[in-house]
Amino acid sequence: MNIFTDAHYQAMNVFCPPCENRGPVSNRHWISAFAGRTKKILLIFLFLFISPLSFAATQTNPDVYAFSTTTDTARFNTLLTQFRCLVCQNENLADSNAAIAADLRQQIYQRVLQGQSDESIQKYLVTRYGDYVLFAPPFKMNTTALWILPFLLLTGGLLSLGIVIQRRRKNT
Amino acid sequence: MKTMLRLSPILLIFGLIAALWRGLYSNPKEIPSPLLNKLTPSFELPNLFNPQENLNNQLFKDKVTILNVWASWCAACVEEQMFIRTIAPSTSAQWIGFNYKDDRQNAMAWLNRYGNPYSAIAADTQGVVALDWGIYGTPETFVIDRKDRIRYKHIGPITFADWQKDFVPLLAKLNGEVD
Repeated sequence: MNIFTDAHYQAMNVFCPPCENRGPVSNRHWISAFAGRTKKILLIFLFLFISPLSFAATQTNPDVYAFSTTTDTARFNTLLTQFRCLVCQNENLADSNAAIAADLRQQIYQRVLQGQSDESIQKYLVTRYGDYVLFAPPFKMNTTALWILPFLLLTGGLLSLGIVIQRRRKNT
Repeated sequence: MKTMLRLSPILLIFGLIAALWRGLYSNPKEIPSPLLNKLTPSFELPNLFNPQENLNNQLFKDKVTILNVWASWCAACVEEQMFIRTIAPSTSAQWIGFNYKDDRQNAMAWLNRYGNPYSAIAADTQGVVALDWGIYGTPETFVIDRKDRIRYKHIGPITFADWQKDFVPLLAKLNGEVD
């Protein structure tokens, strides 16, 4: 028994974010091998897991970046993971679908093709967008706290621990 | 000394609270521009109304300039344009438009509809010059002094409050600076 009408399938479509591969109607033929409740459960799984996956697969990195050497390919891919996208700030340039990330990928691609060094590519980005684009911020005046505080806290903690232990020993 | 040591965890916690409190009110979407107080990045872009003519940094020469980045596909720009239109005539600076990744026809139709407060508009169709300026969205606004240096960058639409707080005092200062 099929409890789903076409209207249901249409409604389910709404939950799929604006993606190219809108699933259900065209995918129905291979689910119809199963009947009743199994089908229902399968459908739910389909929407929960497959739609977001196909969404990700169709949307991420639609551009193709071809290099003549594998070293360049590796360098390009590593570089992309080192820089932050300015719009989706938790994503790096490799993962982001934002238009600005695509533009920057293109710039980095051109520069790797030209044989520019990693340092000069990093400098290109930092002079325009600031240290912000770096996932690893450099050691500077305004980042001293960031870099030193953990070590300071650690030594402080160890020191006070040592003092406490010493005292206990004296007492016993 | 001993009381200092005893108090240190409490002081530490207060320091942490202060830092986190500040973090609550900072906007991570606003990335400070590393171009502040530097010369404007050199560019060469076609004039939106006359693509044969190229515009460049000469635009900023000897004038206090407000460079506004906009696009016809940008919803927030419409709201901002409503505001810019009301203040532009009385602004003591020239307004220059920077049309970002836009279609020429759409851009001109948009200006017809929402008004054109700009004395010139540079069209960056590919969005490549924008990267040199550290532009990462629309709207964004730069304030440039008479000596061609970027003095302020505003991210997002300019509101009346922003205008009063950030732009008015700065423009007065820049206009008062002697060359």
